[in-house]
Amino acid sequence: MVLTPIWRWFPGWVRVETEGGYPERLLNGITAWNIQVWRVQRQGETTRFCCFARDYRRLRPLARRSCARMRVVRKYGLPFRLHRYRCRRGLMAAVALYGMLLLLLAPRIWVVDVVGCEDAALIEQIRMVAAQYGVTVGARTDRLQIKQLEIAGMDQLPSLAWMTVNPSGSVARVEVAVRGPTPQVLDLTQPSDLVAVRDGLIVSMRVPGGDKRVRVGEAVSAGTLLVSGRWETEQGERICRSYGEVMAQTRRQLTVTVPLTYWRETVNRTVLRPSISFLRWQIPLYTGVELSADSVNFTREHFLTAGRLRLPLGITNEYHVLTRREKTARTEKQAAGIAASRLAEQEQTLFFDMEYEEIARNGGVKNGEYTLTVSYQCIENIAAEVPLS
Amino acid sequence: MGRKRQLGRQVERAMDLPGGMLAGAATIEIEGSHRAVISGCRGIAAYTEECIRLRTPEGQMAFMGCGLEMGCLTEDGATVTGELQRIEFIRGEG
Repeated sequence: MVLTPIWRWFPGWVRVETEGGYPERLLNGITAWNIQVWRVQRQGETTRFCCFARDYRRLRPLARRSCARMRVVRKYGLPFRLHRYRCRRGLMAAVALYGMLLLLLAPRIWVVDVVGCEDAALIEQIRMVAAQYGVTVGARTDRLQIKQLEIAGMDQLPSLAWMTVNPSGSVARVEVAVRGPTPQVLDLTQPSDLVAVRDGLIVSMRVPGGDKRVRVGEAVSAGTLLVSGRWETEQGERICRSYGEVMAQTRRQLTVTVPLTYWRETVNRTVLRPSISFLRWQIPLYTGVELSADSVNFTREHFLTAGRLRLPLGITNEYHVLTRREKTARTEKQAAGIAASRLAEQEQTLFFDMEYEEIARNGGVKNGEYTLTVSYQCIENIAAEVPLS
Repeated sequence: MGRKRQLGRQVERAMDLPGGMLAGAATIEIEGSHRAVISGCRGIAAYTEECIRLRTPEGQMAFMGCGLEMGCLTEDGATVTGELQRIEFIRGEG
């Protein structure tokens, strides 16, 4: 009952008024011809009723036969609304375009959303594999090869434990489960020795497997056998795998060199190249000669979003920064500052798993370069496992 | 036709079927005094604001009241709305 007015609105309906004649004969004729009428009202000589717009022409002979004069009082519905806007061609074109776009885009994928993975590189790989099996922006939803993707995805991406695609309207939700790291199992069947990889003074030892050949407080050089996997017992020779930690006091030195003159690139001009991105297509909004690929410095994307989903319509701005090279000089103080910061970076990278202490620092200019040399005293594990000789 | 309808009515009574199923009688559903849904009618005999007379297989059915309207009209059914005051059955004038 609630939907009836809506269904009547789409084909359009009219309110008809008849005057005089024999209204009973007219209404009987209407029912006999299977014409649907509703809201039939009688007021004196006038009878009003509603019928579909398409049936109005069929009423005319009936009205003539029942000697009634008939006229339309009011028109309702979509055809009459459209008729009102028939002169506005732009509006009609927009409505037609909207309908066409809706028909064209509704059965296609607008967004491929990867759920269950945070790693950007892995997400990119998943998208590439999914694209091979039709799960890509612009693809038809009825042509997605989901089963094949589930099988191939597991083969091509070993870091995934599970993968599937759930199409939801125009969004293809690629759901994945990333495989956790495999726990390492200590292989005790391969016999091995532990040898020193650096000169040092042994400060502590923790050796669960193997026969110790050095003691705490002993100085060793690189290549010295620290723990052996072979030793003699009362029952004869025994071999096993050697493993453990041999912490020793060692010396290390880091050197950083910063030139006092260098080539600096300065911005000459920036070229903006915008383009409209729609599904898989990019429509350039610029003309002119091609720039070399090296000159592209960065891009900025401005896409429409719905919630946290990025819709496939937006503007991509490519900024080409054209530079020129200039020879520039820096002072010794500036060079010393740069050298110190580079050294701090190297310390963090190289000494992340050991204790260290700075014991000497020398810096100075030589041959047009500032050189900073720092010596360290470290406590580190010098034992490295080698196969049993 | 009369004998056939008589037989249909007897079968309806014997098998405890809803009235009008075999005998082809008109049925009325009334909602309060504002709406009556008639099925099995065969057209309109008279139509004014105060009285609507419908043809049925057994005669005529008259609805009397004020501001009567027909909400819906089809080949074998009609809906009468308005302030209903009286319903009359007139035999043999169908």
